[in-house]
Amino acid sequence: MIKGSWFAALGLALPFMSALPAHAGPTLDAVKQRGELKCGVNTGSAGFAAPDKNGVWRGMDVDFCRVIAAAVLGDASKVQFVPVSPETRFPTLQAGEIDVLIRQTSTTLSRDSSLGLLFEPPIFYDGQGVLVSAASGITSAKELDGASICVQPGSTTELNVQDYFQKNGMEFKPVVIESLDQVTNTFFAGRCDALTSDRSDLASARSIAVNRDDYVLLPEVLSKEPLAPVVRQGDDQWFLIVKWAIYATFVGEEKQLGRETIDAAATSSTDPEVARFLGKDPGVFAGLGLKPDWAYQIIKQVGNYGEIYNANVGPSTALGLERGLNRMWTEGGLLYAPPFR
Amino acid sequence: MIYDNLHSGGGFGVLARPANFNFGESVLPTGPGDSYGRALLIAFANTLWVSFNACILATLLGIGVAVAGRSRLVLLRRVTAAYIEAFRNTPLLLQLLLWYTVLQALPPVRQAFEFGSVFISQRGIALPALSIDRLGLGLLAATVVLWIIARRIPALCAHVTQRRGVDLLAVASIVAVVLTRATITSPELSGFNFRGGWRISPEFLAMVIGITLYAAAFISEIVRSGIEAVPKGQWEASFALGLGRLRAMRLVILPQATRVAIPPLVSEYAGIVKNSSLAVAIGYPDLIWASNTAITQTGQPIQIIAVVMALYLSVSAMISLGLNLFNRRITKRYV
Repeated sequence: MIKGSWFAALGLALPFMSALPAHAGPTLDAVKQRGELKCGVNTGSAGFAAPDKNGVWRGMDVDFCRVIAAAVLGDASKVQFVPVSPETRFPTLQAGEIDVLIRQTSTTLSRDSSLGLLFEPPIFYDGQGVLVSAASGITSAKELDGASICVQPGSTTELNVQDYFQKNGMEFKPVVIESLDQVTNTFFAGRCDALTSDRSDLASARSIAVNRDDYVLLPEVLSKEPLAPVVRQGDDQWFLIVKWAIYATFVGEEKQLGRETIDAAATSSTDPEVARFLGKDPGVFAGLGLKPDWAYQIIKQVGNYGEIYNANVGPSTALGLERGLNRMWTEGGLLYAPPFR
Repeated sequence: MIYDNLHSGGGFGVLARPANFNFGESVLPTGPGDSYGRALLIAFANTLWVSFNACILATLLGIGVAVAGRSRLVLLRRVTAAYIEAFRNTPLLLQLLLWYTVLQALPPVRQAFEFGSVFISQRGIALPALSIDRLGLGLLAATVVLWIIARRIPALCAHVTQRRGVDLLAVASIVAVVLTRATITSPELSGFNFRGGWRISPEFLAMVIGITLYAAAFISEIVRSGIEAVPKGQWEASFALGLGRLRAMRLVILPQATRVAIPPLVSEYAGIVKNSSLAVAIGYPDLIWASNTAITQTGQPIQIIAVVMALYLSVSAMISLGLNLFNRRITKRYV
């Protein structure tokens, strides 16, 4: 598996060498013709993307893949999940092997501007955190001078922890291990004094610890990590479809349209924006090239943002993440969709 | 097309961009502001360092196992056979993960096993280090150079006794330098880990132990085939001269076996270098580890993979060239 990702990087690089510019037509046509959305997801991250014991993919990222399939194909189940590692995720998308990448990927300036890719609106506002064992008695990241810290390579995580220690005049010894499972186990075994990753990852890791309460998430947030879906540059229509499919889940929550309530709202609501949302004025959506009921299908088949959040990572799940910044703007959070008109 | 891709995104200019690497350990000095190119070189040095250690130890162990496998003791033969089968026929990745897990089962750093000033814990081995100042290093280098020159002068070293005198002088000089110019630093527990002294990380240990035991199983088979290729008459001739089994092995058989063993050894050593790439699995900062990080940070896999391939290719070529030259020399000597 470890070696696999290295070979996969090479294998993915080879078609990339010959086929990058030869991209066949707009993504929407390709997806419709195939009858299936190819969605790049994490290889295994509880709450975000991981197969359950029946082999069905579950998680927040996975549900957003389904949101796009519901909008484009009218059927949330028409998704082929392609697990990608941190190294292979961008080449896989660049090479056209997947239509969209939804893999706990942070938007950064250099990624947005230099990879030939475009980042969509964030679906999860995360920040890098630090997990330590409760027995260590550590209560702040500022006490970690000289510590060994377990890190998964590559992601922005490694750079942020470096910046944080440099800023605070402290030193650390990184133990950087390829797979998230392995680095987590190494931390649990006691090789490192701390484990650092996005707070969502740490909650995910802590949820599989033998005893959750043996580990403490420190209060410091080391960075901003806006996790967002990614598409290729050069297909504006596809970029817009994914963007508005995400916004539709926000609007669904804001207008209190849920899986159970949307049918009732369709008949009883007097809110003109709800009517437009349900496809009563198809002219609004003409530019997207989707059927008039696309937003309805998203909510009906997958749910609104709040439903997706609570089912996968919310306070009642094993991850137990409070909504925090991931609340609607109306409730003091950062989620804000432009008007549907 | 390949040309275009190699020049995409600024091409190899990426190597000059500053990288934010933090090596947990490295043979070469590192610092903030290192470029991606330098980071890859530092990582390559780590690859070579771990491979070098594994090659030396695996060769010694391999020869030992091959000799033990020809022992007259049945038990010793059985044990070596079992070792060879077990280690050759399981994946190296599995063995590395096993050793790494075993090392993590050691006590935490605060309850480290203590042997004098040597501490063994989850964080590896900490032991006293000998450090020699610049003057001392210069004197040592001078001694070695003088010693080589002296041994090359026939008038000085014509007789065995005179040669011994020169050797003794060199040893005495080295001892004198060490006694006067060297200081010993011992590791001390401070904060989260030991500081000072010489510390060997569990990642490095797991790599060296894992690759050594794996490669030694193959090397012992190579050495065995070399030994068996030496005609039986050579043994009989040695015994006729009154040599014991071990001395016959050392003086007569092994030198001739070397000639047969070197070509397959070349590929074994190249294999060790390539296998060290499994380091990413257990967090030893080798070349693949660094290239993976560089790829995710820059998003330019084509250029970085090209550099990595060139580096691996060059080291394989060097090993092959070096051992083939060595082989030609000993072939001339013994045939």
